[in-house]
Amino acid sequence: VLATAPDASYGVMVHVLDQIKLANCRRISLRTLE
Amino acid sequence: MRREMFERRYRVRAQIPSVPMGNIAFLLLIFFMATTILRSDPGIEVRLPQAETTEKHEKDQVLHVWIDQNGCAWINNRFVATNRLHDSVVRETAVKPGLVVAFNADVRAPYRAVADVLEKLKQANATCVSFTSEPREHPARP
Repeated sequence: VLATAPDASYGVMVHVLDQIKLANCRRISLRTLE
Repeated sequence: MRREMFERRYRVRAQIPSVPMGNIAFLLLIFFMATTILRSDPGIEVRLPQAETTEKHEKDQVLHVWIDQNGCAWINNRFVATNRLHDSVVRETAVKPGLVVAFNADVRAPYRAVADVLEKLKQANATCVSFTSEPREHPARP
């Protein structure tokens, strides 16, 4: 589960998502923190 | 005989003057060349994030959603207000079931706007969302 704060940068979120995909994780859930 | 000379001297031949017509056409050409403003579509300025893992999709099955750096959403190069995003996506997915939504968000876009659009896509049952990125540029090795 990739939980992201609303004030975070989209670029950082995609970078983290990319790293998770590089680690061969295929089922990723996105969550936005309140 | 005297009358014939009089008639010959004052006979006016009917003709269309062609020299001023050319001048007028040339002036009009210069006028329109000087005053015409060619408007070009500036497009949507989006700086995509860079990533290592990239996949390609078939062009027919992709719905492009763009988010610029101000958080404004565009669907297939048309601006869509956030409250109308749901209807637009539902309309597109009804025409092409199994559509992949290509999510082209600017790297500088506020995540709050990105999350709002993602929520609208989820409500519109667009479950297959792909985050578009550019291949990461590696520095040249010596």
